[in-house]
Amino acid sequence: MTPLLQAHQVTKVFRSGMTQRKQTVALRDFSLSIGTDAPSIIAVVGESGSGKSTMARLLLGLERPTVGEVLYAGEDLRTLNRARRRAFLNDIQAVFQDPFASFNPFYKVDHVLEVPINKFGLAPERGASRALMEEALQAVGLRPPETLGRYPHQLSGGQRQRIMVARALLMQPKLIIADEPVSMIDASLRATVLDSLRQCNEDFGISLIYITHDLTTAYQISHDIIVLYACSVVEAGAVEQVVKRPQHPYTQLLISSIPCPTRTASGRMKRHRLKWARRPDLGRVACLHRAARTPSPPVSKRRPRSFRRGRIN
Amino acid sequence: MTVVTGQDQIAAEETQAPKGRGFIRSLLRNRNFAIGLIIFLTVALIPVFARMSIDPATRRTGAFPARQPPSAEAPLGTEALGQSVYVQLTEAVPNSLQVGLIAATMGTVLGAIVGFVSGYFGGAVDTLLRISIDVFLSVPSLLFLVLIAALVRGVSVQSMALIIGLFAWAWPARQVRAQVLSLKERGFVEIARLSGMSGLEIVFFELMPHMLPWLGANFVNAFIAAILAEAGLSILGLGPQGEMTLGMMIYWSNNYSAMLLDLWWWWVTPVVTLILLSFSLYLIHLGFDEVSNPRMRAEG
Amino acid sequence: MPRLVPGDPLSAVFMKMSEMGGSAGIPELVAEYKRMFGLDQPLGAQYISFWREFLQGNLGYSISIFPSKVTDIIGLALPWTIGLLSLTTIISWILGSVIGAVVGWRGSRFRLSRPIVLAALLLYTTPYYILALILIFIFAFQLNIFPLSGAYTRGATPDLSLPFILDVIEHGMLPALSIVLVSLGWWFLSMRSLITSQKGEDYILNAEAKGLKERRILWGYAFRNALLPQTTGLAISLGHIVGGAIITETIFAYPGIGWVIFNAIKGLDFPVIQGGVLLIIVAVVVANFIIDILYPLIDPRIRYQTAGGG
Repeated sequence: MTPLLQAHQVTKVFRSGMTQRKQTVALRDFSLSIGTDAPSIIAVVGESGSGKSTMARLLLGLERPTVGEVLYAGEDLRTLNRARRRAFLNDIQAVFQDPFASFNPFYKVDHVLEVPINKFGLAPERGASRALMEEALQAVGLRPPETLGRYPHQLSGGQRQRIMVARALLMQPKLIIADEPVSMIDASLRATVLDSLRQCNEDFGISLIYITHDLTTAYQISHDIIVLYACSVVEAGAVEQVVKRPQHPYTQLLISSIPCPTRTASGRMKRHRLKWARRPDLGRVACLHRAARTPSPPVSKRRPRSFRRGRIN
Repeated sequence: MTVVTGQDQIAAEETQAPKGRGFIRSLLRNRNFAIGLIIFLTVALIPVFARMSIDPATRRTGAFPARQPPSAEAPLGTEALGQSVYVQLTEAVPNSLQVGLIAATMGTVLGAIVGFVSGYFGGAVDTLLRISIDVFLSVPSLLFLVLIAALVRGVSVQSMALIIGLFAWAWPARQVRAQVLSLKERGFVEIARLSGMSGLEIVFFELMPHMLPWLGANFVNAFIAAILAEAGLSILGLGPQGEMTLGMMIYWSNNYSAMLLDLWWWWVTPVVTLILLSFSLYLIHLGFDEVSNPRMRAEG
Repeated sequence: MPRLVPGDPLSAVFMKMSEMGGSAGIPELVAEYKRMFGLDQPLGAQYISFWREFLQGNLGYSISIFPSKVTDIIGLALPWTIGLLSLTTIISWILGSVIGAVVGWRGSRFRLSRPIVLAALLLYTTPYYILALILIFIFAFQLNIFPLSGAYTRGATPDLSLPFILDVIEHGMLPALSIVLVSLGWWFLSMRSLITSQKGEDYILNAEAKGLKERRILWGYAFRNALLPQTTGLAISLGHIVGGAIITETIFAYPGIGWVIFNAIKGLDFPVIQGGVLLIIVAVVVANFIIDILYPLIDPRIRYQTAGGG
């Protein structure tokens, strides 16, 4: 069976300058395949500039690959006709990083839900559209009377982002690509958005590509993980395996720099856990203090072993 | 420093321009806009309505004794050929407004289309349009207006408006293009694309609403500019000779040496009307700007 | 480009000649003239020969004032335009910027703010030719202080003697005043709004918190930052001087470029129109070039960018 979405050795180079001679590689030789059989959550982890967002935009057809191809059900995204493009959008949806920019400030939040309903004829009859919207909002844990009819700036970042999840849900897609969905949301509200996303996967059988720079949340919700560094994939595999036995130095660095791990296996951290083992609550506080006091290590130390760096600046 | 909770919400409300009906309401509440509108309506509408009630016979030359100061029959006096200045004004104001209306509509609509196409679709079309915008912006339009008006012999009010409108599109085009370029990077455009909207729908339903206040302000601006351009050309003797506009009134008064003969009512009437029109429209423009761009209201 | 438009320049000349009682309509003469001006050639050839001549510094001969060269006519008119307009533009720019800065800074604390702003608004929205008419009426007709038109008394020979210079100043007063007053309004308004928008910026608050003198904050901080857009405006309007002068110069019969071009257009004197248009476009291009050179001097941020190589 052909996979739902497949990236085949995709490279993206941005050109800039007067004569288009300045080149910046954003993603190098990236391949990925997402099937339709079992819904899974794949986390894509990497620091800023590592090509995460470019990858998302390529998979969504918002950018065209310089080399390689992105295939939807075996068909190149560039050659999709009108009907196939509709099918593509119906199957693959996205949630973006900035929950404020995603809304047109000119319209009430209903607008983002109404457009897909109208464009894809989701409501069987006129009156059904409101019911659909309410259903989708309830699915992400929002109370429709408190959200519908309001302007985006009247809602919190977490609420807005959950509306974006509801929007994606409306289309009943097979895959949602979430590009840093919680990085611009207050820490206290992150869990709500992540829960909605996890529900999409568990309750509605939707696959998820969860893009983040935060290894902890990736570990929390995903089954598989891809680590991007300097525009290339440096490590990929089941999340337990990658986090417990990281092969690549960058992954090792990422894992060892989690301030107060409860589940990682890094030796240095283990000592800490032992030291404060009897007072777990105290341990957490002390850990936070330590993290705050320690100055960030110089670059040479930050990257334990040297490896090739792409032109990311 | 005070600690502000829910910071993003407060910031958002401050930078948001009022929308839809709220926009019109705050427009009417704006002092500049209200004063401007009142002056404009007074100056513009009185002649338009008065025109209907005027006896056509009084429009002839020689209908009144020549060179009379304001009186009961001719409230604004009469000119050298025995026409009432007041009657002339009732013809000139609608004609001048017509020039402004046609030219501003043409310039704004053309400019918006060019700007949207250039900004949203990009590519080779954009390059071509951008160059033509820059060319049109860098040559002084007044010179070409004079050139064209001089070569098109016997212009009418309408052709005058078209000529002026021809030079009114480049500025809005450039502004709209710049705005579209920044707007299209915003997340909601991508969300709209993912929601199945086509390029044209995005331009109209997602981008256009943001541009409307600006386009409105630009329209008013172009309206003033067109009326003044018409007057300028007419004063140089390049206006519609057979018809009456505010510029032509000044031209004829100059031609018959109204100043030298001390027929002040003849030239002061169109001059004051022109100043009031320009002033009131500028106030309206200011009001538009202040309401659609709340940052400008910061000033105390 | 101007030649693409309909209308035969020579017939215009001959009409003028016949008005003056000259021997008009002799076919051989017409043909001879046409050959001289190259008007018998197709348009493409006319265009090419124009550029060839232009590169040699030759703009051809005027048709209506025949024996004189276009370069001479323009050369004679240019000093008047530049003298009158660049002087008035710069004077009004300086005045407008300074007053605008003070009024914008003081805001509502300054009692005269409101009437000054209102006056500036009125001045700015009054087109300069209208203001010119009003000035003519007041100063030339009612008060009889300044002469009505021209750049110097008819019949006087231009030289550098004191009486002649005074004469020029006297004649230049009215056109200058009309331009200064109108553009003053604009510079004032734009500087005022620039300063007002700077007032709330963090760096101003910081300067206040540091306890700097108010005068220092206004001129050394806010004014300097507002100067960049204001200078762009100045450069653009200097570039447009030559083209924008048409109406003012025509009303005052001031023998500058605008007046020359206007008469050339009326007489369909293509070589002069071409020369004038060319000059205007060159002026705009040069002004843009000067802005680019001046920017780094005013705004250090731009210098960093070029030094850093982007």
